[in-house]
Amino acid sequence: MQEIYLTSERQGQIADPVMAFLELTDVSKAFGDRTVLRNVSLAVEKGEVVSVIGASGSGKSTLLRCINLLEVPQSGRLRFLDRTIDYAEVTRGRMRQASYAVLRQRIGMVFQSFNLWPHMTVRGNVTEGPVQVLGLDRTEADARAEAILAKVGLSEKIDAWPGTLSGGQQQRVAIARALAMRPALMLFDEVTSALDPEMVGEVLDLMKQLADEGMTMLVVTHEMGFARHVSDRIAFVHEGRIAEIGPAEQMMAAPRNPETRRFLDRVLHHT
Amino acid sequence: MDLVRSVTDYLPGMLRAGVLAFQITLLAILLSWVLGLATALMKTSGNALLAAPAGFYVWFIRGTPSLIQIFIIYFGLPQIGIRMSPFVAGVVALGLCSGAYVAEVVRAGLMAIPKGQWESARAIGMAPALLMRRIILPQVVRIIVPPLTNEAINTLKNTSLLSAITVMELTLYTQMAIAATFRPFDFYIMAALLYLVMTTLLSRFATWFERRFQIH
Ligand SMILES: Nc1ncnc2c1ncn2[C@@H]1O[C@H](COP(=O)(O)OP(=O)(O)OP(=O)(O)O)[C@@H](O)[C@H]1O
Ligand SMILES: [Mg+2]
Repeated sequence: MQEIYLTSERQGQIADPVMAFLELTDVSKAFGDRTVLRNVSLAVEKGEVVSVIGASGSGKSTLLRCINLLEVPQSGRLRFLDRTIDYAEVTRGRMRQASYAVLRQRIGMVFQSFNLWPHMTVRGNVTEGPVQVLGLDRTEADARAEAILAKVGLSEKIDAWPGTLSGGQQQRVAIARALAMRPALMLFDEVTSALDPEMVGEVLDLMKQLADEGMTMLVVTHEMGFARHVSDRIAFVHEGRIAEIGPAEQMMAAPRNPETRRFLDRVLHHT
Repeated sequence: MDLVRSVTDYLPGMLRAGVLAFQITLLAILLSWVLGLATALMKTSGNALLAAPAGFYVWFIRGTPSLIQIFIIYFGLPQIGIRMSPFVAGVVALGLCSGAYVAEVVRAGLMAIPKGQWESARAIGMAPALLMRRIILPQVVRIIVPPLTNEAINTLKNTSLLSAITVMELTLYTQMAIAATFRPFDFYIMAALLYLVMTTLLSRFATWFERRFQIH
């Protein structure tokens, strides 16, 4: 099962990464005159799960969105699989549309607000990318959708409309939609924050399952249990910088940075 | 019976004139959708070179009477060498006129689609044209059917303005029938009824479309 998500769509085009799988170097991003990311660097290994924590407005979402170019930083570099992107070049409009597509096909993203396409059934949502972007034929895409929906436990909802599903089910469909592209990396941005408490578990369980299967994941979360027990490392973002990053257990038990300590005290003891 | 005679004499002509008005309406609606969609996409493109002409077009059309626009097309353009038959001039004028309103409707529809719909499509690797065609426009269409229906009905009613440029549509034909029979009441009522049949057809079709493509 694990294989599916780690192999490339077109076999052989991706060199086995010798260095880090994903590497951000000196990334800076400003909206107008408001600087949101300040020289952020981060390297993620293949199969690694990194949780990103930090206060509201610290830049966690922006960091994630720079990786699949939903935001384009003013400077810095992104290395992912076999390609390197110089953000300054992208800002100057030097990147071709096809290159965006190639990058994004290999990176799945799941959002807080699900963002399923309401005019398509669950099947439509999950097959849309494979058919329209990857060029799979219907039968292949259907088979893929069925397998992935079985995996996320929603086989019986394949012909349902998104609007008829619970929040937890919608979010699992959103994960299935991303997985159907067979990404090499998954980005999760507070994917349980919009859910009713009783549905948080089913989504976190699915994410844990993916992590166990070897998916490389970058997870912005307020779920400290998930961060501690599922991720390999935790990155604490403070005012646009990665103030501290380290093994999950150590970050939770013995953070070194006073800001990390203050943040953890706040979220662990006063919620 | 005078009424019966005038009706039987002129009814086929009235129907033909009504059909002509309906044909002009359908062609003008098609033109207005193409213009409206293009204008809305230009206005929302974020590119000033595209947005400026689109903005000017909408501003000009919305700020001038339809009759003046029709006169510019039919009587004005020949002066600079562009000549059209009354029928073509009518379709072009009504299409241009309605296109500006359609543009505003489409623009409002585009803005009503949550940002997340764009982002999830971009995140999956869709190029802008594909994203627009597969994800955004299908949702926009569902939102804008009611206002577009209003606009289509307006266009149909505006065909009566084409009587001023000698298009033998329902209004002009009615006036000729009246001139010959001196029965304004009968004929204006009959014309009104025919317009009602056509506007009702349009809105019935829109209701059917809305039901058929409802989002669940
Ligand atoms: N498109 C934008 N335009 C202007 N400012 C933005 C934009 N996106 C984010 N910001 C600002 O950048 C800062 C960081 O935002 P970001 O969403 O990355 O924070 P976050 O850490 O994800 O916060 P939260 O936990 O609330 O989601 C915030 O101050 C936000 O207002
Ligand atoms: Mg955020």
